[in-house]
Amino acid sequence: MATYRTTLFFRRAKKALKVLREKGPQEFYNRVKDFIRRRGQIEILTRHTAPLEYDRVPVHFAGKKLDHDMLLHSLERLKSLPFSLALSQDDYVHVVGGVQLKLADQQREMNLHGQAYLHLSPYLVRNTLDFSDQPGVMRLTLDGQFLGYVDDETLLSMLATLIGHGTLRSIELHHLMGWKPGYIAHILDMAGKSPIHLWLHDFFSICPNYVLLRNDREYCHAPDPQSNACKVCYYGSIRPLHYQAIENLIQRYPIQAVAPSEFALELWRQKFPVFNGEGLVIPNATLVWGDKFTSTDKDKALRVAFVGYPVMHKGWQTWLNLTEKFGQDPRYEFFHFSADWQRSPNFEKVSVIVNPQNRSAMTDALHDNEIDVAFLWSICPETFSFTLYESLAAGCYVVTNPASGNIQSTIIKNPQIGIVYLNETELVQAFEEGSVLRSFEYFNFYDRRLAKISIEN
Amino acid sequence: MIVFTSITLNYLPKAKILAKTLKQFHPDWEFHLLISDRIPSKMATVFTEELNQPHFDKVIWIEELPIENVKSWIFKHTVVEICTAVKGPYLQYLADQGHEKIMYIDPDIAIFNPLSPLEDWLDDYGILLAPHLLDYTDNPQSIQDNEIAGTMRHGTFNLGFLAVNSALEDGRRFIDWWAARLLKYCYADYERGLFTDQKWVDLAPSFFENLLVIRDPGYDVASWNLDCRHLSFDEKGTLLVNRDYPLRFYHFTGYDSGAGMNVIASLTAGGANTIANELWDWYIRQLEVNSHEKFGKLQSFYETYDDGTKIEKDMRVLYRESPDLQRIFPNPFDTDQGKGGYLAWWHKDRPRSKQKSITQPVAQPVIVQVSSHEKLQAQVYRDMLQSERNDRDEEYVPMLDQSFNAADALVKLIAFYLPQYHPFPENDEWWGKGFTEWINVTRAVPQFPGHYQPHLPGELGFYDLRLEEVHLRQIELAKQYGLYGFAYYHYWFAGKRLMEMPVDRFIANKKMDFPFLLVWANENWTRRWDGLENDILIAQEHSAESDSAFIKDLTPYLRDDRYIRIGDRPVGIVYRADLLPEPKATAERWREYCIKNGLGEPYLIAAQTFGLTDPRSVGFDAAVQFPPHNEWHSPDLMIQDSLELANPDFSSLIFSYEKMIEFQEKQRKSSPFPLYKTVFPSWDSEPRKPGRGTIYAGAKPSLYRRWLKAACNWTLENHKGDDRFVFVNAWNEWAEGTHLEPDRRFGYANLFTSMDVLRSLKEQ
Repeated sequence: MATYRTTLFFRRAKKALKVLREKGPQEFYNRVKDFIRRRGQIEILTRHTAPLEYDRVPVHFAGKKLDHDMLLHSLERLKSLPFSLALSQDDYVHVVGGVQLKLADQQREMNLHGQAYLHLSPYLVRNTLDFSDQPGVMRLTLDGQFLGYVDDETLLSMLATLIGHGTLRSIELHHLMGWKPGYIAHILDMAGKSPIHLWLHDFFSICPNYVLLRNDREYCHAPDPQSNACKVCYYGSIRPLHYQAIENLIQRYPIQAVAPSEFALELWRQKFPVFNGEGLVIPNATLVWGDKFTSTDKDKALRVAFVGYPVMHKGWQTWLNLTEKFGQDPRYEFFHFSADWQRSPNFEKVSVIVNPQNRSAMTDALHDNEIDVAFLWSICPETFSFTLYESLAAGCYVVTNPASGNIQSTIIKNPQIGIVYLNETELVQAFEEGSVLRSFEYFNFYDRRLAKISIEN
Repeated sequence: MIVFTSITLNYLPKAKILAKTLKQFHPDWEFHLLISDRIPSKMATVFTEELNQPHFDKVIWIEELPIENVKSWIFKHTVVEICTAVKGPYLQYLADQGHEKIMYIDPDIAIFNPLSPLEDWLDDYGILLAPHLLDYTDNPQSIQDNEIAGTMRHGTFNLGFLAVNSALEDGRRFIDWWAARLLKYCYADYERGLFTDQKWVDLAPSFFENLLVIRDPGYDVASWNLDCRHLSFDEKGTLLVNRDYPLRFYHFTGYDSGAGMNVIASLTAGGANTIANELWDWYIRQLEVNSHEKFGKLQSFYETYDDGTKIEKDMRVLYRESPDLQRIFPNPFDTDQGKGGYLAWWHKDRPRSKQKSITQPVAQPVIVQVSSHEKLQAQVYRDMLQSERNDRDEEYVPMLDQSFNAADALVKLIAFYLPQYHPFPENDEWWGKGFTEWINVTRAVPQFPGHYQPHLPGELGFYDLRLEEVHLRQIELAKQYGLYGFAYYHYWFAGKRLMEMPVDRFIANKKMDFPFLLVWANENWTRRWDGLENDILIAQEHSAESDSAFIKDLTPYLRDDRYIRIGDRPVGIVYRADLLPEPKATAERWREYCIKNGLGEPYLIAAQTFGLTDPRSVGFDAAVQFPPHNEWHSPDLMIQDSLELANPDFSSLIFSYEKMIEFQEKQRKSSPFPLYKTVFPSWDSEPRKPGRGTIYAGAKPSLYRRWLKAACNWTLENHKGDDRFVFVNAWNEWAEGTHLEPDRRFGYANLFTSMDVLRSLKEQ
């Protein structure tokens, strides 16, 4: 790719110089301007997502490695102490993210109930399942304490010994990124009658692109892996293999699917018709509605906010288009609430950092800034959307689109708290004609409430 | 169903993508890979492996196809042209093998959904075509790009796709018609209204009724129609065109030039049709997976001569426009280790002027067997009309801006020159005021189908030798094309001369820097042209006195430093030495006179005419052949019985020029006396002797080449000194139908052929 792009660049440069030589500086200027204008498109055209790493060969291992005896010693107490075995993609203790947070919560809760929490993650971080035939190395954490690294073969033999003592209570499959399907199967073979929970934090089990965006651009509806969509998609090259591996696990083991929303569970069931096990919905949080309130300043502009990281799959491009069009419209004021932000004359930046110590920071900031409308324009299906809960808790009216998963699902079930526009055209039209103002007014007058987010499950 | 594509090896990655995507939906369809290339020796292993992949059911190489002179044919085309031209013959080949449903698909196409509807349509239709455009917009850019510059210039239908059913009548007719056109006219020659294989098919809906124009927009989506074809996915992930039609195949045109992506970038700017971007992204990834980096920049075998020199397009264009070059260099890629061949000719002798050749192939008059005489006459008449209207033969050679110096030739080519073509009092008196040879030349008419008459002059026109410019130009042309000299006819009747003006003017004008010799046409001047051979107009008188007078009159000519000599001996030819009463005595007198007068002993050559063969019998030094005199009038060569003559009273002798050439080529024996060979490029004395002449039918420059070459080679073998003469009969015997001077049918072909043979000669 780099070669092709380089060639393309030099070809264009050569052409431009020819234009300068033959047609003069004005035409040259026009061409360059045109080139810059189109560069964005060309960039998209030749852009590559991070390489898929399903066939990557492990690098030489250089960390602290446990042998069988050391491992046995470290895990000695699990012979008598009930424990859950959790699998995820990385070190949940140190890596910050929604999934990692969920593991931390689960560990805490299990520890509170007198259970140990043994966590395994691949030493090598990948963005796919591991289809290589190289021996792997696992990272071990017990109750949040790093134990060390161990060969996967040694670990399997150790686990077999340990599980033989009958103390395993459950296997929690939180995320399978970087895992070898065969290795997972070996672990599940030891489950006995212990429940196996497959957590649907995202849709990785359906596709390596866990947000289900075809070529990172558009919600693909996760069609058949042999479909045109998968064929042209960057992730489609390995999706058939990936899907088949997960489907095999689902068919072979008594897995229970655990989703953070009805929407996510339903979508997942549709994509795995072979699944006939139990499905559970355990929301990441719930709202405790408070008192109704109404903003009474009728002359103030509608305050609209993009909530969260400015990334494409959260609808950032549409946000830019919208604010470009209405940024100077006195009927509206635009804001961006995030730890990361981009400068623009069309909206104000409000810096917000959410962390475990201050989980309500976003809700507080939205409320403090009297935000009326949360622009939650995810173009991929959210399994839950904590941002939705933060926005609703701050008394915001939600604007979204049909691809946003649990966001649109929640709005459809509760149409008084937001609106689903069919597409960007309809969104722009609503802002143009002011229908969004009227929708908000109705919400403001009749249905606006503050809420508290509860993360107790 | 057979599906084939046509590539050079650098397109192999694309062909793989096509084959794989096709096989995904149609594993039972046979996929053929037609390659106009050769495997580089260093990559033999890798290509052998690549071409043995299961997605290629059959690999066929261009030189395996039943195409006549295939290397010559390939050379006429650029690489892009040949990859399209070869489609027709291969389609025909497949049909001949009994295959019925056949589909061609460009290698830069990928299949996205089943093509089963095409197979079904072929049950009912002989031909399926996909138009570039199915709809229009009023966007000025689109009108310019897609309608004007695109479709109207390059053809209505995109020949990246074509499907035929050879079992249906129109399907088969289409195959044969298209293949025939592509064999001869598959060029990107916009001035002639040609664009490779594609523009031809604009005619197909008119020529063939059983043809389906595919109006489903799912076929052949490409940059040229994307503004009218909206791409989307449905929830099942199926690619759709204009919401309702599955995308069957997409044409990734313009990848290598970057044009395709540029167009897509501009078409998708602002978020429209962004799926096209995804398709291109996918295609680029597929190319990477299929080793485009390794193969994509390979140079095609046919892009260079065999010494590695790149073949420029104008080299190909000149070659394809010149049938003569095609005959001379049947394998133009061959450079003889960089020393010769077409490439050497190109560097040394190609036309340098910017004037474009105007050679146009014309249909050869065909000998048609007809039953009734009226039909035959009508045919001859039509031939004549055809000849009048479009009088260039396919061997026509235009004026070339190249030359060859006679001094560099191993053989000295001398042309007999008739100094007639101007009025003079005697002819005025005998034949009528203003009579010249042109009167005879232009009165001839064809006597049988394919009979080339009248011979009409080219550049020099119906010239009048009173004009010095004409003579100057004749010399200029003769020198340009490598002739060594003229053999002027000398008319001397007991002191009375005829037609002396041109030669005397030549003698007087030293600027006419061209060797010459004289041929004494020592016959009586009769009314033979009128068939009255015994009606003598002016008689020869042979005597000792006249011998002396004759040689004395020749003195100024023999002294001229342009006079052709062998050593110090001036060369003279006597047309009919047999008419000299005492030829040996005459010869002796001439020798004596010349030696005495310091002219050098004359080198006397007797023309082999009227049965005279051995010069020693007449005391001469040597003989010169004078075809078609003597043995050329062999009954074995006669073909008049196999011809149907339009004129029942026609009684000329008709021989086959080609058979005569074959006979001449076999004459390799050396001569017991010094002998000089003579050739003629054609012969037809119909103008001089209507209905009673001698015709060597079927003469053409390519045959003349063989004869001249044989004569020159014989001379090189049998003459070792500075007397390696070969004579041509004639420079300008228009009324005998033989002339090196350009005519309207063959142009400069006889001159060019002469030059080309001379410069190709090698020491034996």
